[in-house]
Amino acid sequence: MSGVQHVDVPLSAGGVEITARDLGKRYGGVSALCETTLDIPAGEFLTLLGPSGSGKTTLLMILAGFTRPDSGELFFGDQPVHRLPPHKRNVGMVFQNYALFSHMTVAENIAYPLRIRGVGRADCQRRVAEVLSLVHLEGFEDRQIRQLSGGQAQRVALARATVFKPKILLMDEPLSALDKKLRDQMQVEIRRIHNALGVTTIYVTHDQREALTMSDRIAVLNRGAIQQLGTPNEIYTSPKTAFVADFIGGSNILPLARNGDGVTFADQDILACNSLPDAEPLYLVARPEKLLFASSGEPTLDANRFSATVTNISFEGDSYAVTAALTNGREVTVRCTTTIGALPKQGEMVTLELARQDALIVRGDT
Amino acid sequence: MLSNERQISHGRRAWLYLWTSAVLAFLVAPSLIVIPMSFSASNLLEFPPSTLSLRWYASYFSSSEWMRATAISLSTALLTVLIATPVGFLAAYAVARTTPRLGSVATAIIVLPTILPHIVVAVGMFFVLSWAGLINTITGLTIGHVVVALPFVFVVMLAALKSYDFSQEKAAVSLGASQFRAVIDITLPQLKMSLITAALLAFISSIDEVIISMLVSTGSASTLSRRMLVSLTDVIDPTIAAISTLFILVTVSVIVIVQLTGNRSALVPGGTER
Amino acid sequence: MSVAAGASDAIVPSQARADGHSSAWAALAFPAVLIVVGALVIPVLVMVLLSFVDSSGSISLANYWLLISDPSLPTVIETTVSIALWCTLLCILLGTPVAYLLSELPQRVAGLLLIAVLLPFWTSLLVRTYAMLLLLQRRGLVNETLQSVGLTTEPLQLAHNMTGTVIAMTQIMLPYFILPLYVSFRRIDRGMMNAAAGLGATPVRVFWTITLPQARSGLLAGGFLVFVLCFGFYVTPAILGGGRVIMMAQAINTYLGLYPNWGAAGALATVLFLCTLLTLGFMRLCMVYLTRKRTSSRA
Repeated sequence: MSGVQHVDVPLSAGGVEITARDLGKRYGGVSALCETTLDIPAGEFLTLLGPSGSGKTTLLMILAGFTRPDSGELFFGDQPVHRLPPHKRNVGMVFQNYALFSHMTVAENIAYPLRIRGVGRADCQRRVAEVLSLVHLEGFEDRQIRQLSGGQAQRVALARATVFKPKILLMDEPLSALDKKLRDQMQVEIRRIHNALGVTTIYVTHDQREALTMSDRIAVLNRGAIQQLGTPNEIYTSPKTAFVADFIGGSNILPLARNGDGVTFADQDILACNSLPDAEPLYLVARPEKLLFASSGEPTLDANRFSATVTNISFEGDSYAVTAALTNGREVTVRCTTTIGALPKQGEMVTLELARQDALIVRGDT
Repeated sequence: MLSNERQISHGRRAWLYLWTSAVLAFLVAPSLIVIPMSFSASNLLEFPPSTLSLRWYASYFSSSEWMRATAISLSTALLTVLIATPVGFLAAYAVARTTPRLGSVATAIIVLPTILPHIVVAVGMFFVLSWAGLINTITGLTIGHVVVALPFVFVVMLAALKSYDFSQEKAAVSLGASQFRAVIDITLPQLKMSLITAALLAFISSIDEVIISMLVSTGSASTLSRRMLVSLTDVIDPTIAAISTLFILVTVSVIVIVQLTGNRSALVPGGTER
Repeated sequence: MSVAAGASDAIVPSQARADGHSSAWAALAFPAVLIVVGALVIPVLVMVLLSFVDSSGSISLANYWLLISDPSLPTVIETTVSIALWCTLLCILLGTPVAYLLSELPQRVAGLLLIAVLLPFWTSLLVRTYAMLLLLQRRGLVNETLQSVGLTTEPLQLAHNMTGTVIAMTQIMLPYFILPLYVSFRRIDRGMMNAAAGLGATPVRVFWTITLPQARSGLLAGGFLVFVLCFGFYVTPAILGGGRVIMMAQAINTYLGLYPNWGAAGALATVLFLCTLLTLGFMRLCMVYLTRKRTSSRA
C-alpha cells in the first residue's frame, strides 16, 4: 500500500441534516419505535446504541426507507422523504453481513450504484479507483468477493456505499462480524473516512465501547425509545437513567429510598453530586473504578461509606474486579488497579468509599 | 473410535453390503441393459448382441410417424419449459419472501400435481379440454404438461432461494436500484445454475409424461411417449429400444449437468408422477 | 445492575417482518396458483360433479350404480390394493437396508451411490417398464440366464401377469422409498447412537432401539408414498400385465372408451381420487400421532 494518495477532496460530498418528527412504528401490539423526534446536523457522526430489540435497527430502516413508519415525518435537508421508496433516497448503506454481490468482482460491486445512475464507463473506472484508494484497497478491482477477508469485505462495502457521493451514510452494526483487533482498526478507518467525506453518518451498534470511540453524539435506545442523547463524554459521565448508566461502562446501580429532601440506601443517607431528579424510582450510580477501599480511621467528610464483605476477587489483567456484599446483601463490584498496595482477601470485612462528586443519582428507565 | 463401535462391524455388515449392491443393481441394470440391446441386429434384441447394427436407430429416424411424434414431444416440452420455469420461479420467490402462512398455502396448491394420480388429473383435464376444443392440440398438451412440470421448478427454486441472502437485494435497492432491477441484476444471475436445473427437470418431466398425453393427444397428434405406449401394449417394435436408449442418454446428461452445477439436492424428489 | 438488565429484555419485534417478509409478495405466486387451480383443481372438481350426472343430463347416482353393477370391478379394486400392498412391502424390505447403509457411509461415497438411485428416478417410466419387460419376458434375459445356468428347465412365467407387474412396479417405486428414508436416517443425531453404544448396546440393538424408531417418520412417509403412488399406476400393469392385470387407472381409461357419457369414468376416477385423499389423510394422522408421541415422551 505504498504511495497512498489522498483523494479526499474529489470524493467529499458533504452531508445533509436529518430531521425526524414523531417517527413511530408498531408491529402488532408491540411498539418497535415510540414516537421519536431527532435532529442530526449535517456531517455529524451519530451512533444509535442499544441492546437488541431496542428499536435502533427499526429507526435505521425507517431512515433507509425499508420500513415505513406508522406516524411522523422525515426530512433530509428541506426535502420530505418519508414517502420516498428506498431506492430514491440516495442514501449509502453498509449492512451487517456486508451484502456484497457475490457474482461480481470488487470493481463491479462498487460500480453498481454508478451504473444505475448511468455514469459512463471511464468515469466509473476513475471513481472506483478513487474510492478504493480512500479505503486503502488499491489494485483490488478484479478480486472476487469470496477471496476477500472480513476486513477487506467491510472496506469494499464501505466503498460501494460512498462511491455515488450520498449525503447520508447508514451503517448497521458493520463491525460485529470482525474479530476484536480488526474491529479496533476499522473503527479508526471508518472515522477517518467519515472525516474525509463529511457525510452525515448514522451508525448502529450494541457495543458501547465502539460508540464511545467513534461518535460525535450517541443516542442510547431501550424499549423503542431514546433514553439519552449526548456526546460520549456526557453519556458516560452524566447518565440520566439507570439503564444508560449500566449500559455504558457498566455500573453498580443501587436502589434508593426517598427520605424527605434526601435519599437513603440501607437506611444510610446518601451524599450525591447532583440534585435529585423529579421522578420515581431513584438509583445511585457507583462506577466500579470510583469505589475505593477506605483506610480505617477518620471518615472522609464528603464521601459515602459502606461496610461490605469481600466475596470474590478476579484478576483481569490491568485490574482486579472485587465483588463485595453490602450489609443488606446487595453485591457491588469494585475495580482496582493491579498496583494497589493491600488487596483485601476473600471473606475480609472492608469499608468502601464513594466520594460525593462520584455519586450520581438517576431515575429509573423511562 | 466410538462411532465404529456403534456401527455394525464390516465383517458382520457383509450381508448389508451384498443386499445394497443387489438392490442398486436391480435399480440401474435394467435400463442400462437396454443400451447394448438397442444395437442388436436381430429382431429378438439379444443380450449381448451377436451382431451389432444401427438398424433400429435407422428405423426410428426414417419413420415419419416417429419423427412427427418426436417433433410434437419436443415442441411441447420446449413450451412447457418456457412457461413453467418463469412461473415456477415467481411462485418460489413469492413463497420465500411472504409470510409463512401464505407461503404454505401456495406451496400446498402448487405441489398438488405430484400427489394426485395422473389418471385423475388427466380425466378432469380431458373433460375441460374437450369443451374448450383443445384436444389434440399442442396448446392443450402444454397446459397439461405445465401443471406437471411446475412443482419440479418450484421445489428446485425454493430450495435455492432458501439459501440465498436476500440482503444483497436490499443492498442493491439502497444503492438506487428498483426492486425489479435488483432481482434482474443481483438475484437472477446468482440463481442461474438452479434455473438451468429447474428448466432441465421441467423438460424431462414433459418428455416423459404419458397419461395426460394419452388422453389429450391422439392419432396424428400423439406424443412420442404415447406412441411408445401404444406400441408396447400392442406389437412391440424393437425401434423402442433405440428410442429408450436416447431417453436414457437425455436423463444421464441432465443428471451429469445437475451434478456438475452442484445442485445435487435438486434431484431428490418430494414425490412425483405415475 | 439488576434493574437495567431487566429493562433491556424488551420484546423483539417479529423478525419475519423486520426482514422484509410481507404478504404483498404472495401476489407473485398468483400465475402458478392460477395454472394449478385452472388446469387441475377445477377440472378435477368438474369431473367429480359430472360423475353425479347421468346420460340424460339429470343429477343421479346412475354412474355409481354402474360401478357397483360392473362384475369385473371388484377384481380391479382387489388387484389394485394387493399390488399396492405387495409393492409397499417389497420396497420396505428391499429399501430399508439400502437407505440405512447409505446413511452410514461417508457423504461423498453415499453421494456417488445415490446416483444409482437417482438415475432410475429420473428415467422415463415407459423406458424402465420396457426394460423390465425385456428382462422378464418368456425369452428374456432372466429366463435365458436361469436356463443356461441350469437352475430351471422351463422358462418361468415372469411377465404378462401379476408377478411381473409387481416386480416392475417395485423396481420403479424403490427410489421413492429409499430417498426420503435416507434423508431421515441422515438426520438422526449420531451422538445418541454413540451414547447407546457407549452404554454397552450391541450395534444391532442400537439399530432396532435407537436408529429405526427415530427414522419412523421417514419410513412411514416412504411407505405411504409408495402405496399412494401405486394406486394410480397405468403404464406398468398395461405393459407387463399382458391384459390380465387390470388396475383402477386402466379401468378408468376403458370406461372412457366404453361409455358414451364420461360420467362413468368420472365416477371411477372420483373413487380413486377419494381413496388417494383418504390414504394421504390417514398418513397425516399417523405423522401427527408420531410427532405428538415424540414430544410428549421428551417432556
